[in-house]
Amino acid sequence: MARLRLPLGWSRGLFGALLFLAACAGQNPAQKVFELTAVYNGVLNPVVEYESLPRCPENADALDVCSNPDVVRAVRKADRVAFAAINGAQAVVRNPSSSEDEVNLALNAAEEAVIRFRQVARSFNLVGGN
Amino acid sequence: MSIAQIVAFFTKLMDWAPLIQAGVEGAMEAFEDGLQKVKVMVAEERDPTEQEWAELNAKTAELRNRLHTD
Repeated sequence: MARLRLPLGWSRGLFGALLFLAACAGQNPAQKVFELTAVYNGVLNPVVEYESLPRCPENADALDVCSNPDVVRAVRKADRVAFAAINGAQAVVRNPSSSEDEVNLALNAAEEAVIRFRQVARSFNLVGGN
Repeated sequence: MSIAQIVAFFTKLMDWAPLIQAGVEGAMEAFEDGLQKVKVMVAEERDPTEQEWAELNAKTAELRNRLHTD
């Protein structure tokens, strides 16, 4: 499987640090979801740039600068899950009648979904970090 | 691996370098912009405004539209 190794070493640890900040920096739920959405966008960016490369032919080798169709399918699938969680969390924290339990559940789901999306992107070397 | 293969690889890489660079810069901007906005919100003890949500979600929509369109 041909993979493009993007030079994203700058982001090592940054995603984890941001998610930690999102959980611990004294933010209210709306601020946390806002930051999680920004983190999600930060993962999306290099994923989108990878997707926009020409698709690898079946006989692609490691030197081909291209996007593997299987990788594209996997990141698209992971993105749908992450986006649903982020979208749901936004709806909950922006609704004044949401209960504290609903807010906590939505926050946890969004945080886990963003972490999972990043893990999938990282498994294909599309983002850096641990 | 032959010299010709190495040269061909770097030629292709140079073609796509601006795109890769755009991804890195875009991700950095998304982080810095999002972090900065949240810092301001925390300092001002307020929720994101409708405009801030709209801008953030417009960026998400733009990226997702690109990701899910062949």
